[in-house]
Amino acid sequence: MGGGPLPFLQGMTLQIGIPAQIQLPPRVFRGRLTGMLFDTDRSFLLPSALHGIRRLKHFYDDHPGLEVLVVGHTDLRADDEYNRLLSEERAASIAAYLQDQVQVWLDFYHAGAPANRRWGVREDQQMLAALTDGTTPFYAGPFNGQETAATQAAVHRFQDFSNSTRGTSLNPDGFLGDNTRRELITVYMQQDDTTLPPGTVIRTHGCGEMHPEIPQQGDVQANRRVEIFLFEGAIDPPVPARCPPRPGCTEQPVWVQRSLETIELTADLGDLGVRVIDSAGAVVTGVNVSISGPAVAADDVDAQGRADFHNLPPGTYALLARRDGFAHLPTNATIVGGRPTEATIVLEPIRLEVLDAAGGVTTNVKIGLWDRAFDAAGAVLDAVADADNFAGADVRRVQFRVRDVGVTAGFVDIDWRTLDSLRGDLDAPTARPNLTLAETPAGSKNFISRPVILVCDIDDANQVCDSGLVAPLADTGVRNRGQTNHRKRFARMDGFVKAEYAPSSGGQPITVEHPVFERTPEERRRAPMQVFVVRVAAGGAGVVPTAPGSAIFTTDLRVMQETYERIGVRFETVVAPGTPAADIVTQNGLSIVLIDPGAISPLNVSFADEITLGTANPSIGGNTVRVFFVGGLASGAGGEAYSDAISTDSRQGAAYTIQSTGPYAAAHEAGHVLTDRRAAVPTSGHFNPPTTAGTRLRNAQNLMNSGFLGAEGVSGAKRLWDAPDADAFNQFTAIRGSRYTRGF
Amino acid sequence: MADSKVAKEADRLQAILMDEGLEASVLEGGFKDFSAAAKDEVAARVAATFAPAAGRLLARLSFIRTAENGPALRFAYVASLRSPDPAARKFALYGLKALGDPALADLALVALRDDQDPVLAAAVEILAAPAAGDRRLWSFLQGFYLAHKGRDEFHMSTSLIEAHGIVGPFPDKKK
Repeated sequence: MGGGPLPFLQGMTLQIGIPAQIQLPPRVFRGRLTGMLFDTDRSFLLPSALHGIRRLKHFYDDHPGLEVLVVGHTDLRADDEYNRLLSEERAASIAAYLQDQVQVWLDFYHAGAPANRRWGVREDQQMLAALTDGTTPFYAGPFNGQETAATQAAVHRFQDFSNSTRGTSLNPDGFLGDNTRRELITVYMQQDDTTLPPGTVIRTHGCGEMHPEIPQQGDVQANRRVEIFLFEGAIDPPVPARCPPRPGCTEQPVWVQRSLETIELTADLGDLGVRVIDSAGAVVTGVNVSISGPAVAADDVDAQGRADFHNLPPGTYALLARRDGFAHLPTNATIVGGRPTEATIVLEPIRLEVLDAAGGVTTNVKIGLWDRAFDAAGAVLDAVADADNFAGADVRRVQFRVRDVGVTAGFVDIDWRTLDSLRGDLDAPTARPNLTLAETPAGSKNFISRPVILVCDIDDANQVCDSGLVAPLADTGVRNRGQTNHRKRFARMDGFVKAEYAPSSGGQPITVEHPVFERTPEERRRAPMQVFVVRVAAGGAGVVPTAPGSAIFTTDLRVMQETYERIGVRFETVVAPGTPAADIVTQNGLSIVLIDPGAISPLNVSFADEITLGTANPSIGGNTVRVFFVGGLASGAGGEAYSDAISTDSRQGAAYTIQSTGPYAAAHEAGHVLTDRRAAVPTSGHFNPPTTAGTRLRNAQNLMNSGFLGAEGVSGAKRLWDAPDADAFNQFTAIRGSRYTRGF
Repeated sequence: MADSKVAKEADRLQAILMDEGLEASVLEGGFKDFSAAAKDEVAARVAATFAPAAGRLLARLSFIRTAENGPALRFAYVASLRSPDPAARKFALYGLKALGDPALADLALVALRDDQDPVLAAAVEILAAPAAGDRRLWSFLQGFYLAHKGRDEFHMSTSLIEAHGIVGPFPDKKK
C-alpha cells in the first residue's frame, strides 16, 4: 500500500488494529419535493411549493457552499420527449427561483416558450393571489387565465402598491405589461427564505419519466417530483447535456446512490377534503373550490360535492366556493402536522331583488315622483334628507336588496340603470357601480338601498339628489347626476329598470330587470276612458251635439287622442257592458255614452250633482278615467277633475268638462286625473311658470296651464310631456301620475 | 264700514274667490274658516261695484251666502243680468234661482233675448216648468225654438225645449 489515504469504497474491509487513513468522498445530500409544485404541463412554481423551498433554504444555510443540482421528473403520462422537455423547464424554473433570476421566468411568457406551455394571465393570477399588500391578497378570484375586471383591479392594486412601497414607476393601468410582470415576478421571488446566497452554483437537469420513484404507468404523484442534490464538492458525476432516451441517463442513479441522506422537504404536508352543501344539507355540484394560505389551489367538486387537496403545507387556509349566483360565509381550515383535515362549505343563493315600500319583492317598478317630493310651487324637493323626501306610506317607493352571505363589509355596491323599450341604456354617463346598499340590520347579510327615483323628464333627472347614506358610508349628502349614489334616473314608462351585482364570490354578475310597469308595453300605453255626455233632460239630447261628425268627435276627442299620442299614451274610449245601444254614439272607433241627468241640473252641475253622476255611472275599473261632458258647473270653473289622491267619493278618477271652455278642456281635465297625486301639496295641479325664462315650453303650449285652453293653432298644439325636451314645469314632464302609478 | 280686521279677512276671501286656479275642495269646504261678517262684506263689495263682476266670482258668491247677505247677493245678480260676460249673466240667473227670487221667471223671460246659449239654456231651464201651466209662455218658448232651432250654437237651449216637449202642443190637463 502506498502512503496516501485510501479512497473510500462501499463495503471496503479494514483490518482491526492497523490504522488506516481513508479519504471519504464529498458528501451528497438529496432533497425531494413532491406534491403541488406545478400545474399540469406548466413550469410555474406554485405557491404551495414554497414551503419546501424554504426548508431547502434552511438546510442550505446549515451546509453553506454546496453546489446545487436541480433535477426534474414527471409521471409516465405523455411521451418521453415531451416529459423530458417539461422536466427540464421545471428544473430551470426552480433554479431561477432560488436565485431570483427574473428574466428566466419572464422568458416563459414570451414567444420563445412552447405555445402550449407558455405562461400567461393564469400565472399572474396565482402570484397576485399569493402576494399581499401587507394584509390582503391582491387577487381573490379564480385562476382562469382571463384578464377579467377583477384581475385588472388586482393588477392595479399591485401597481399602486409597488409604486408606493418599492419605488417603482409602473403605469397604474391595471394591465400586465412586461414592466408590471417583471416587478410581479421579482416580488414573488423575493419572498422570505426562498433565495440561496449569491454565487451559489446551481445546475439543472431534466429526466422526464426516465427514472420514476415508482415504476408504474399513469398519474403517480410520487413520480412528479423535483430532486435537489447538494454536493460538497463539484457535482459528480457531471451533469450530462441531456437525459437520453430510455433507459435514461446513467448519472441520476449515481447521484441517488451517493446521497448520504434524502430529506423529504414536504414531509409535513397534509391533505384537505372540502365538502360543499346548501343550507338544507343537500350536495351542491358545479362548484369550484379554491384555497389560499401557505399554498393556493383550486379544483372543481365531484358529483358528491367534494374537492380534495393533497400535500398542503401546514397552516390556515381560507376556503372559497364559487358557483355563479351563490355565496358562503367565510370558512377556514387548518392543516396541522400532515394530518388530513375535513371542511364543509355551506352555499347560499345570492339574490338581487327589487323591493316595494313594505320590503316585499316587487313585481314591477313604479315610475314617477311621489307625494312630498315637491314644494308648493311644484319644484322637486331634491336636496332634502331622505326622511323628508319620501312619504312613509308611499307604495311607489322602490329599493334594491342584495343578500350575499359572503360579504364581510357592511355594504355592497350595485349598478342600476334605466333602459328604454329596446333595452337601450338611458343613463350611460353615470359612474358605476353607482348605488350603495347598506347592511340592514347589521350582521344580517341583507343589503338594502335607499329608495330610488324614476323621472320622465331629463331636467328632473339632472337635478341633485341626496344620497340618503349616513357615515361611515361614503357619498353622504347631496350628489350630482353622474356621481355615484345619485338616486335619480331618467326613465320611460315603456322601459325597464335593471340592476347588476358582482357577487362576493367573484362569479358572474347577477342581474335583475323589471319593467317600469308590469303590463306589456302596448297594454301599458293604454289610457282607457269612459266618455259620458249628460242629456239636457231625461231622454233628450246631450248638452253638446253628439251626432257623428259633431265637435265632440272632431275636436274634443280628437284633441285628446292627438295630445296623449305625442307622449306615447294611447287614448281610447271604453263602454261599460250592458249599456243600451241607443245611448251609444260611435265614430272612428271612439264612443260616447249619453246619460240622463236624473234630478240634477246638467247645465249648472254642483259638487253634489257630480257625486250623483259619479255614483250612477261608476268606473268599469282597470284604471279607466271617466270624462263627463256637462253644460256648466256651479263652481264657475271651466272644468273639474278628481284624481285618486284628492277624492275618495264616487268622483274619484272622474273629470267634468265643459265643451265651451275650449278644445283642450277635456284633455286638460283628464290630464289631472292621469297626473295629480300630490295630496300633500296644496296646489291646483296647474303649472303656470311665472315667466317663460328658463323654460322651453311656452305656457300657451302647456296643457296643464290653467289659463289658456282656447283655440287650436294659436300657439301651436298643446303638449303634455315630450321628454327629453319638455318643460320642467309641465306637469306631465314627470308623470306624477295616479292612473299611471296605481294598480299596475 | 267694516272694521279693519273684517276688511282684511274680506280681502283675503275675495282674493280666493277670484282665484282662477281655486281648487274645488276649497269651495266645497264652504269657507268655514271665514266669519259671516267677512262673507257679508264681500257680498256688499261686489254689489256696490259698478264694474261687472266676473262670472266665476258670481258663481262662487253662492258659497258665501249667510243669513244676512241675501239682499246684497240679489243686488249683485240683478246688476249682472246685463253684464258683458255671458258667464256672469248665466250665473246671475242661477244665483237668483238659488235665492228663490219671486221675479225669477220675469227676469229669465228677459234673458231669452240673449245671444249666448249658456244664458239662454239657463233661462229655458227656469221657464220650462212654469210653461207647462202657462199657454202664453209655452207659445213664447215655441217661438224662441223656431228662431234658434238647427243651429249648433244654440244646441243646449233648443235641446232643452225639445226635451220638455215644448215643440208640441200645449199640454191639455183635462186629458
